[in-house]
Amino acid sequence: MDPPYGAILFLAVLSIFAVVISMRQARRKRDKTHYIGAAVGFLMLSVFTLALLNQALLAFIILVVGGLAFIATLPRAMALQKREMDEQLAKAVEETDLSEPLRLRDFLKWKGWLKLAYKWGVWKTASIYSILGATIIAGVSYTVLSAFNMMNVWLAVGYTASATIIIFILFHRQISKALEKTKQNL
Amino acid sequence: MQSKVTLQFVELNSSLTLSQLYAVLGKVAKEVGKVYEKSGDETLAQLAQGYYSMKKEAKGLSKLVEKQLQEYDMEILKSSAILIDSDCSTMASTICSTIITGLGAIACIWIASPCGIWYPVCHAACLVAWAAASGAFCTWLGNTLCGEATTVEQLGCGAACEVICLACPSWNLACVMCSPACEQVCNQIF
Repeated sequence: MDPPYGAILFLAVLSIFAVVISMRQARRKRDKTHYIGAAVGFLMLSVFTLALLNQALLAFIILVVGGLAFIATLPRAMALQKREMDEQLAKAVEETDLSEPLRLRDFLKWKGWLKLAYKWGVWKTASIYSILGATIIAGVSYTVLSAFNMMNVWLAVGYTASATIIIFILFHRQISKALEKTKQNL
Repeated sequence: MQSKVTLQFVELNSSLTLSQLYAVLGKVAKEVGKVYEKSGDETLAQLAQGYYSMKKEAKGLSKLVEKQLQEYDMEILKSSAILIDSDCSTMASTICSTIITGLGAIACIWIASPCGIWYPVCHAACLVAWAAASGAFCTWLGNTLCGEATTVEQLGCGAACEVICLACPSWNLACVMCSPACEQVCNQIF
């Protein structure tokens, strides 16, 4: 059977995104840790190239050797992401006045979600955010799966459900931390 | 072809060196082989040979570490292991998907970073999309490496199971086997 070109093309596009974004951030922020993203992207692209050139064994060896080395850097990459997210949140906390009325455009920034969490509580806010996120992901998954001619209801449902759980956990963690800081500033 | 996958989780309660760990795993493999051989079940009896080979290899590794890799033969305070007997393509695709999912977790940090407030949505979408595509890719790569043909149904099962198994927390040792176990069930259904 031919290689799954759709899946390979999709992963290659994501890898190119990772390379471009991480290199841009490495130059802008002058932090070499950002090059990890670029290196992972290049590793993936070389694995796909070798696989498409019928060099499955070489692709597998490079994936295992290079992959294990990069997975060891995962805690560093996660720490960097956490630090940057904390900086964004700290900025949002400084700018937010919880006593101000809630406006629709606030929801495009952390501001609106912080105000909502203050009024309605973290669980309700995280649930609303996750439902909105699930709707976006359901739409994206339908479009992507249809484009690759892989549309299957169960796959789309599984995709949306898994993503919603991840969204809820990530958002709940961030908004709880930010709200605590905002309350301390009051 | 129907694949068979068996696995045993080994938890070690006391500290021991690396060479001792391999020696213990060899003994465990031998005991499992004996149990399978005497079970009276033909399917399990066929698997016994795989565990006897595992015993020989673990014993060999233990001696190699003890004599030639002494600098690594240090005391390990806490250790656990999984003994897996499976066919070539299942093993190759499991290794491939475990590594690619880990790489996806790294790549998605940067891919989602321009999303601002929508970072959690972008990150989750990226993780799940990456898992689905890598599931299909690794199923194909595993089969190609082992000289087996791949069907469209197998690709679909690979993609779907990788997504479902994202919900299985990676700190749980059993999660390594989530995807192959799910694919085995899925391939039987379709």
